[in-house]
Amino acid sequence: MICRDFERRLEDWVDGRLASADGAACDRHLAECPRCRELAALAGGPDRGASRVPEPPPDLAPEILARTSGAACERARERLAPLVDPSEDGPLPEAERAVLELHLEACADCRALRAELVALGEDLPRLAELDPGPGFVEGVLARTSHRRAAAARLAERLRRLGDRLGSGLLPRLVRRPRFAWEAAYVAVLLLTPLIASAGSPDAAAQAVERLGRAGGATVASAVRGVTEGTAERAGSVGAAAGTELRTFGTRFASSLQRGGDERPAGPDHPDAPKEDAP
Amino acid sequence: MAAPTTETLLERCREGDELAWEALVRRYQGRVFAVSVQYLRDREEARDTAQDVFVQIYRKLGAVRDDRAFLAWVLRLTRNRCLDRLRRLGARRSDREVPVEEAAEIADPAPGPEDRGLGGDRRRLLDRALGRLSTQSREMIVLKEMQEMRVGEIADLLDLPVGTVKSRCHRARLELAETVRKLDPSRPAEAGGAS
Repeated sequence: MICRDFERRLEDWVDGRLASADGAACDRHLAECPRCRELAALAGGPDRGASRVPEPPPDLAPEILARTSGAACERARERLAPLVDPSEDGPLPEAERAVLELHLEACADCRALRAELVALGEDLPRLAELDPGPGFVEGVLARTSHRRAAAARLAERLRRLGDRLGSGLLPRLVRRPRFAWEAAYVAVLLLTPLIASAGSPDAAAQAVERLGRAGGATVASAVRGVTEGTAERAGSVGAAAGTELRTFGTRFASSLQRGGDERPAGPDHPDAPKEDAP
Repeated sequence: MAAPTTETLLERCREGDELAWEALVRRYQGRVFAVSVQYLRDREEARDTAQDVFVQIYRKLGAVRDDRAFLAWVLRLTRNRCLDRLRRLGARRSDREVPVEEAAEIADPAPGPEDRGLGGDRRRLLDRALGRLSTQSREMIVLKEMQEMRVGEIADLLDLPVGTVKSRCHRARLELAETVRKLDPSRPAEAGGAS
């Protein structure tokens, strides 16, 4: 045996883990090598390592780490989460796990942290559901059932309207020339002042006022004609609807006519009232 | 007789079976409410929001593309609804620490369906600790640890890379564990979950 061989076996020789043949070879080498005998004495001799080595102070290792690689806890914590929950990336590699366990043996804080992580892994899924309290389901059903009923009513109304339109009422209305011309005439009269005075509400109001005075009668007649004609043709839909439409047309026409006849005179009119002098 | 699967319930809901809709509401009300509570930190707000979520689910039943991913879709709707509500209420509400008195109100004293064995003290402790987390960390805990979503699903939901979600989950878990220990340092190192 040469010195290098003994040095490789030194730790096991001190801890008494060498097989008997190796142990005998080491003993023979020590008998011949003063350098290795000195080394063996420093190590504490065979089978005596732990009992003769004095216990180091508890903060010695942390102080050494602080002066070298830094505290190990930060690195240990990075590995704690996958140690506790290997579900995403699989378990830690064996070597990393073994090194981490060594740290945990020595560090109470990290041991406590690991225990808490394990507890959280069991407890947090139990918080996945919370009871919202009485009446919650009933409240949801009321809101969704109400929507269903409302949607059903709307669908029924649309279906009936579609049946009526499909019966030919609308095509007949559209095909009557008098209705089409009168409707177009009214639309032009109503839209022209608005378009001409775009951006000027005062001008629009004045234009409608002039229209009312000068053309009120004409418009009234046209509107009355449209609504009368429509009312006649709407008789199959319902007499009440036709009557309402007729009444509306009459009132609208009358208001247009009154707009031209009854509006108070402007300040420049000869009959306008004068303010009292100071 | 085995309970109908969610896929079966969804199919029957689309056919207009109102009993199936009721069953679906009962099946998911706990989760939707639990997630809402964690985002909004207020039971009443959470209850209102949870109801809104179910109304939205009801309107969009026909739009569900994959019945097997129904829970992920529901959680997505719930999250979005909660964030909308938070924006209306003011973002600060989500970051405040919930006072101890309110923690007892938020933490449900009545056991939920999976609550067996989780004591009230432990539940309140966890809720206090959750209230101290940042919104981002709490969201990771809610989605990953409570709702047990996969990292990939969370990444899709939050539109983040998978690696980012993993590291946030790890940090959130550690942050929560350290917070719990600070709030209750008397807990023994090797203690289990129930208290």
